[in-house]
Amino acid sequence: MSFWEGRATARVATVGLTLGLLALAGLALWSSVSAQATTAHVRALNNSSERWSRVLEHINVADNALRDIQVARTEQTIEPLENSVGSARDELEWLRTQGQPNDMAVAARLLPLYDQTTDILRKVIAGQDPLQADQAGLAHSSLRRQISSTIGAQRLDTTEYLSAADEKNSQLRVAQIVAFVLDAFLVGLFGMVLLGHRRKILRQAAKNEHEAHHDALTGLANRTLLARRMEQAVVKARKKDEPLALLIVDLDRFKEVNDSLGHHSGDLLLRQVANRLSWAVRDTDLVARLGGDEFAVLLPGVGSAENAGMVAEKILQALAMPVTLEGLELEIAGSVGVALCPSDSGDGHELLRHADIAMYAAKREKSGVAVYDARLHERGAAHLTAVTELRHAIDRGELFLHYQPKALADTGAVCGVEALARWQHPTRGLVRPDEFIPIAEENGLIEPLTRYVIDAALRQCRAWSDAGWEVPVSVNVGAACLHHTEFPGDVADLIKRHGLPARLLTLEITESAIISDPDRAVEVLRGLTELGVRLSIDDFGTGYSSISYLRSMRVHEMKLDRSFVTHMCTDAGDSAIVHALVALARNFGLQAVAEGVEDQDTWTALAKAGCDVVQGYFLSEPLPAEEIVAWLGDRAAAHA
Amino acid sequence: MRAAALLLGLVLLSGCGGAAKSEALPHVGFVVKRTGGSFAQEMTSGFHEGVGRIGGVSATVTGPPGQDGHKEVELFRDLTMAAKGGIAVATSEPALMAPSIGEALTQHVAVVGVDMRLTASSKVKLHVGNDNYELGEKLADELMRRLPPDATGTVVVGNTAPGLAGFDDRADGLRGRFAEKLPRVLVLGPFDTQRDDEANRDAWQRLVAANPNALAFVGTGDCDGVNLAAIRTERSAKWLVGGFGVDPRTLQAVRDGAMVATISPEHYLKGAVAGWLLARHATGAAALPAGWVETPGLTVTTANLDQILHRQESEKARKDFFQPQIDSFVEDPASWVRPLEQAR
Repeated sequence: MSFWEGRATARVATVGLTLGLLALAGLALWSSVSAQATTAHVRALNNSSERWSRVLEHINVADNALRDIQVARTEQTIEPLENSVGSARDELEWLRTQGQPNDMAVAARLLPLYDQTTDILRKVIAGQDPLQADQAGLAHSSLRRQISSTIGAQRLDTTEYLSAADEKNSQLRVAQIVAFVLDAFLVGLFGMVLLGHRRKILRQAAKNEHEAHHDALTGLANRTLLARRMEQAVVKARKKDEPLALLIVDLDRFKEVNDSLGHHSGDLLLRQVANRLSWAVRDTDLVARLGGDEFAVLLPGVGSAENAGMVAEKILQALAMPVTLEGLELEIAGSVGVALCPSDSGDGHELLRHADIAMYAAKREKSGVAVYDARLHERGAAHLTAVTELRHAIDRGELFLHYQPKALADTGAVCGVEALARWQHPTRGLVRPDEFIPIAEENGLIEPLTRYVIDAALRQCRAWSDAGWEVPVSVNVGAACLHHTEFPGDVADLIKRHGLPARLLTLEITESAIISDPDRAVEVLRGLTELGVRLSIDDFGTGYSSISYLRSMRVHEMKLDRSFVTHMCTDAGDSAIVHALVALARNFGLQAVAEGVEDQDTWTALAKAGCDVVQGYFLSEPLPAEEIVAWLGDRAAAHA
Repeated sequence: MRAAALLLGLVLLSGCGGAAKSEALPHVGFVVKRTGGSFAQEMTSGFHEGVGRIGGVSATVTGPPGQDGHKEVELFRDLTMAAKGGIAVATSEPALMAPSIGEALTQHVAVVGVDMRLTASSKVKLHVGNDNYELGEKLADELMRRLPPDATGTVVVGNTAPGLAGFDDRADGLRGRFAEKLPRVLVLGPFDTQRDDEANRDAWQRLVAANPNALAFVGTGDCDGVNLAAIRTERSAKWLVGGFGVDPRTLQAVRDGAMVATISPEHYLKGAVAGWLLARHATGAAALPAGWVETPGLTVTTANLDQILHRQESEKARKDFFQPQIDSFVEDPASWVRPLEQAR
């Protein structure tokens, strides 16, 4: 029954029941009034009948006295007659004036005869005319017969009236029974509707309860239910001394799946992961989704860290099986953090934090599983501190750039520099890029960091330009920047702000940044190209090395990874790769840039291979900006 | 002979139908209060005349030979089984008859009250009878015509059936008319003068003895006039006698001058009207009307005595006499019908 049907039924039942009850009440009232009227009428009829009976009795008494006096005229016979003379007149007068309509007519007709009879009886008593006694007897007889007839007719009328009243009451009873049955039916219907509503409310309440405690996407328990169960489990664990474990599972590279394949695929993946997690644990365990790609598994009575670790490994194995999403087969992996109660903590919230720290440790160390210990906590805290400090460093401009020159391979003329970020930590000293760049990438700081570097590099470029040196500058661009369509606009603003031609800026991108979301990356790169900015594919040969991208995207240079370049003179394989890559670049019309050049032989080999530009310690190590001008001057002088 | 002639259980076929067809004919009945009276003969003849006018209806007339209310009831109940077309009832015991009439109506047997009114409880919707009050007035008028306008004295009234509505009404009519026209005349009674002929004569003897100076003696029943006329003749009295009915002795008393007038209730006409209506109803031609079909009475004095005597001589004479009235009724029955509540 639909909601509206239910409401309509309830309304009909309510209206029907109201009408039914009103009908029942009306019938009861009618019945009562009718019974009262019947009683009143019957009482009136009885009253009349009684009065007629008394009249008849008075006449009989008078007639008996008359007969007695006819037999023997004595004082004993005269007195009763005297007493009875006119004794019925009051009753007759009452009936004439206050009786029923028929009583009035009959009494009015009888009163003259009764009065005449009274006169006759008085004559009898007076003894004036003995013949009057006979006449009085005939008068009495007439009166008796007429009154008897009236009483008989009245009895019949009463019987008839009662019969009619009984018939009417029977009809009323039938109507009352019908109304009662109808009301009973309506009460039943009403009850069914109410029960239906109650069931619906209970179902809704159960649904609400479920929704309040479960994740809508995966159907797993949510954070609230996890907290509740964990609280109970912790109490039980402490009471029975049965250690429990809390596992936090986080998927690796889920964001890439979400970004590249869309949220729908991401949701499908999360559902499959939820199923796998549920299959991997016992029925008594609880799997919850904490949000995003983060899950928790509560293992009551797990006993030991080893057991918990085994479960974690089982979970990782379950996750490791290939996932097919809309025809695409993906391989996913996860990181699991394990915390135990009561050894790690007797508090549910704290246990959750500890498992989270362990999970981050596993992720950081790429170990798959990590069991919480206090040191992890410290490391985790250090990590968090580093993130915060890096954010502050970007905001406060504590980062600075070193510039590593690049030169034409054939002439050795400097053709630009690559800007490399450095972090001068207030306490830790100089922090290397390979230490803080991953932190920036993992914690969403790579975009502000990239903008910061571009801004600083362009400012420096402008300064060199103002000093008479036109030094093109290259900046490494974080992969995340290529997924934001507003990035070209930001770069355009910076170029405009520093008043430099866009060609002086080269943005170095990695293939992996393109691969994760090619469509958006292509759109962003197109925007950058339209600005006039030069584009370079960094570390070419180490990643996907997709030739199709070289063809479809309008990049300007290919940067050969140092791992091939550094040993090309001693490793034939590397040499072959370098030669192939340089040839590839030339064939696509790209400028080939080799980094990691650390000796003359390599430089010579590269030049011979046709490489356009070299970069490396052999040319110069990365230099502070203020040293670049001097270096350039020296270099220019040396080539002069 | 008379009783034998009163057609107890008589079945007549109207028209030229034979006995073989009688079973298939609608059947109506008539219960009279006493088959031994001249009024019963009159009503029976009239009833058959009325039924015969419709044709194709059989009729049964029955009643106790003497005054016997319980026998009346018994005969009525028996007739209910046979006369499904309807029954006319001229009873002297309306209260006694009422339950049986109710049962008949329950069995969808139509009932018509004739002459004396039935009780309201019987639920009978049609009454065929005189305006008895008016009959009393007519008799009073005839008596007063023979009294001086300033007459004083006593008029003694007797009633053979006190408590029987029609007879009470006649007495009331007498009393009312005297009170209206000759208020100085005292109307004594009505005394109970009994139905039985001997008892009636005895009652009148006593009343006459008690009222030797009365102006007139009047009775509501058929036997009253006959006995009063006889007593008057015996005593060579001068008082006036008035009565009701067309018993041959009554008509003789009128002829002899012993009675100044008698009022005929015209029982033949009542029987004819009841028979015609019931037969018409039994054939399904028309439903019984509801109300009071008032049939007129007739004052019989020396002025019209010969005509009445001739009428009473034979069945044919009676039939011829009433022919115009019956024709008038049959032509427009509705015009004869008055509200039942007005019946008196």
